[in-house]
Amino acid sequence: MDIFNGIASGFEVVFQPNNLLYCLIGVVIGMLIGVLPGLGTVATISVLLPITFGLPPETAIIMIAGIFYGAQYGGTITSVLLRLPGEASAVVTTFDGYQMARRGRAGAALGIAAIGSFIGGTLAIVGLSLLAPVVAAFALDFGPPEYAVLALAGILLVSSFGSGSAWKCIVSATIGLLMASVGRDLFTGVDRFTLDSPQLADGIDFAALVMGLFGLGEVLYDLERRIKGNSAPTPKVKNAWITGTDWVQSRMAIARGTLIGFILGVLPGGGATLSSMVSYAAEKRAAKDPSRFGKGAIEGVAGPESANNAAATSSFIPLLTLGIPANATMAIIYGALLLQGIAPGPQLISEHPDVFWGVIDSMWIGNILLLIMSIPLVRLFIKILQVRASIMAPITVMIILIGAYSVRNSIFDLWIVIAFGLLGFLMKKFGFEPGPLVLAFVLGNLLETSFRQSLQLLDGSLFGFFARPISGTLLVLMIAVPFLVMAVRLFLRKRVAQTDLQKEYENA
Amino acid sequence: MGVPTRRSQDTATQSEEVGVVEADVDDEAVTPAGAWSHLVAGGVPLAFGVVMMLGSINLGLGSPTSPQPGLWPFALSVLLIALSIGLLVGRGRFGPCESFGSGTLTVIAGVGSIAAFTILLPLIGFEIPAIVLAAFWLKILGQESWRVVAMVPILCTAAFHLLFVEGLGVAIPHLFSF
Repeated sequence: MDIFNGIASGFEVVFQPNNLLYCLIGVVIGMLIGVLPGLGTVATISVLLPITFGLPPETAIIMIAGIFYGAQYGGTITSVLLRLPGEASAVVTTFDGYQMARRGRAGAALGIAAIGSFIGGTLAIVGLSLLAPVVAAFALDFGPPEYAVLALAGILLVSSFGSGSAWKCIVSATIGLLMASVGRDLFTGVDRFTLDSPQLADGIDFAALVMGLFGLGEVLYDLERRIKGNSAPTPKVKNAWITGTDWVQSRMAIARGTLIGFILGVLPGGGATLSSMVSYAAEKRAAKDPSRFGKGAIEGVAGPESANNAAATSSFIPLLTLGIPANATMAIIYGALLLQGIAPGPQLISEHPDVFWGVIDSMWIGNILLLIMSIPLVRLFIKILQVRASIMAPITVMIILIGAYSVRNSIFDLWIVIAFGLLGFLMKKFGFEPGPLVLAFVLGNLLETSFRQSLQLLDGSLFGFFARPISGTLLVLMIAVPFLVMAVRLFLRKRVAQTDLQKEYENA
Repeated sequence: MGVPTRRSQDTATQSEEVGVVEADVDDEAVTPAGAWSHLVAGGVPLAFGVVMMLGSINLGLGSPTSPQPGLWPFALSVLLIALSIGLLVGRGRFGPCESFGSGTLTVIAGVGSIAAFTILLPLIGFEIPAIVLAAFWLKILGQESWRVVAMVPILCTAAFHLLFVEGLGVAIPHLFSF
């Protein structure tokens, strides 16, 4: 009954006024940036990273998590009303959501999306609470070879099924690993690639790197495309509410979406995005009349929205139990935890139960807050759509600059931000994803340390990795999963109008 | 987060002149760049890999069982070099590059203004550079109205001063404090 004690203790953490407040702040910011043009989730979390340093670890992660799943709710609003997915995972929602809005059913689309997201999110929390301790207990026996393989698998999987070309993603990840090797070598104490700069002796500052690469890089990328704003006429929404028929039509879609999302979310990579696509395909297949899809079928909104929220929740499992981030947001949470002096991994649940259970339980509260906000307050959020990107951009830049300075009171870090901002912009221009770079950067030390320890343990033989049962199985899985994903993608290509999806994706 | 109510009022009055710019951007497909871009996309990582490889050899390699500090980055740079050669040979088989247009000048101007901010920050505090930076981004890069330019930079800088200097006690160089 440890799990139930854990859940109970987690609520004690969440109900501290401070934590409730930051949970609220997190979900409101998440919802806002989901709606606002320009900044995505990862960029926002990067930009706000310095603010979290002053907070206790559980409070910091509760807020960041709130931003993450809050943005999933917010992104739906723009997808439905303007056909502008804020996040790749909301692309699928535009297919039927926007059509519903054009037929005057925007309220029903937003309502079912909010309810589906809530059900998907909360059921996934139950799954997370029950499954995470089991996985963590299993992972306690892992030695360096297992960790080396896990870290490698995490990096490779994110590269192979994130968006963009897998080859370029792996290039980007390799560069991230090389950047992680800057600074003092943990084994010999020798400075590596520091160019004799004392500021680089501890390595490249993580906060400056992500604020540049994700925050400034994204601002510059938008600036180039001169996105002026979202002042496109927004459809009128009276109320985000659904009818009994809507519910009957979509309840099975929500159930299927939740299950699909939960399972796929655990996998490293674009769990939320992939699961929303799979859910859409599944709904189209299950429907009696598939031709309704793309013309405003409510299941086409309910399923994918439930799926991407369930996936967003279950993507915490690998981070909280194995210490392997499953996507770029989790990589930033990983970095934030490290900076707080907490190493994410199987020992997290026993060493920092307040963080582990506090964060999980905060998601209940966060989802309830989001449901409250997205149904009655939907009109308020639609108003925010009027804010133009050209006004958001300078404000974001100022937050980035002042925030990055405040981390270590260092002008040097500002130059790092500018350098990585330019790098992030150029990477996007040349078709490289910055996500794998950051993920590899945060996992770089773990991978190098465990790899070097393993080689000593296994007498320098790479085959030793296959000989150990767990690392061997993981290696085989690592080779098999990309093929599986390729198969799913091929299947989807036939089912969904993949060309449209791909086009939307690249714009997203 | 800034001053949303004021900004949205402001926006409402101007929504007509902005029209449906976003819709245009959405429809406008990203123009793929020419062959040179794939040379850059493969060449730059290749050059980085070679530099890092030479640096690693300099640090000493050792052997797998008793590695010197250079072994790990050496292995990574060899991998990077191989992958970059793949990019060069594959020429665009690994996804498109976007072309650079007139918007690129905007980006250069934007980065230049941020660099200027960074140089001025330790000399004269963050307030004046922040106001100038925001005004530059709004008027020159964002082509906003003078009304927006008159309000947003000052309000935001005041808000940041209150939040970071007075509220959080961040030791950022500033002109004054209460």
